[in-house]
Amino acid sequence: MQGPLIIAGRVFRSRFFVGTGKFSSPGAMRSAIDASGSEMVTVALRRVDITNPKDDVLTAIDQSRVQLLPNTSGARDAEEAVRVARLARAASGISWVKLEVTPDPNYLLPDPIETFSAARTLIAEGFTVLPYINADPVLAKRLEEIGCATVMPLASPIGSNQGIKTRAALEIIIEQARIPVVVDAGLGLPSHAADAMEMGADAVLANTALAVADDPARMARAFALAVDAGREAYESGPGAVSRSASASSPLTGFLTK
Amino acid sequence: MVDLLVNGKPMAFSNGETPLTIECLLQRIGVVPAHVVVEVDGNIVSRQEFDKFILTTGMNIELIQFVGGG
Repeated sequence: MQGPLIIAGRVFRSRFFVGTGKFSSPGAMRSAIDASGSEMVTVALRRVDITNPKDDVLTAIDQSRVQLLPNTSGARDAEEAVRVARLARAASGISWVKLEVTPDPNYLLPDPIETFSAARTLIAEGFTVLPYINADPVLAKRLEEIGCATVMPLASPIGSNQGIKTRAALEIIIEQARIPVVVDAGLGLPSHAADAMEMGADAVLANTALAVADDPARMARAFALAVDAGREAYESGPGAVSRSASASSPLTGFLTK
Repeated sequence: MVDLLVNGKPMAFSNGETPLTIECLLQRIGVVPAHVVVEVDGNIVSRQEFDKFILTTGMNIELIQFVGGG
């Protein structure tokens, strides 16, 4: 039996979190969330299109099974991130927030200084903060020290599907963190997710990989299986890696020349 | 007429018999109050206040809702 994932005192049976962006339809999104087994999904905040007001995304999310995690995507500095977080809390009553501060639209890398500043403000206002960061072990520790509920270091740029490009730093973060580590961004294949879990990540988050797949629900299921397999492997205590061979079969003895 | 900025766009609304409240504004635009968070001049207005908060010329309104995102 795998151990449970606990974030800010809340127990999650699934270590797979899913983003709700980029799906071709609310139905596709809903099927993918169902297939993923995820218990927490991210959502964003944007202006209502007043020329064509549509149902918001929440109508397609079963909040009795899935918890919302509003993100501050679009924020370019701490002030904007804090504003978005407050709006999200006012809109939903939820005080968990995925803190994303990404001033550069080309690579969408998170600004460490603005993220730290916003985290400090939001924690003081009673938010449960899950900060999206580059794989920076020192930053991760600083955010843990001020009371963040997790750290969410990136594998590679958002939406890039590149997989794990920050391996060495992720290993250090995982080794040193005393809060859950959620590898987020850039995971493009289930094998990437399994890899992260085998490294000892506590959970992973994926969005684009599911949304842009030909069959998002099937891809979601594949990811869920991979996250489960990776965690199972990690908890099984894998063997050491060596440079040379070590025979799997015993020496024969009767084959002598 | 009440001249407002709504999501960055200038919009004019006739007052009618009763003053223009946030609730009225949302009705006229066709937005469900339960799905939206409203900022007036940078301050969040709670949903319970929608039918009491009166909008006057020059106010800057942001209507914001949840959308899909990663």
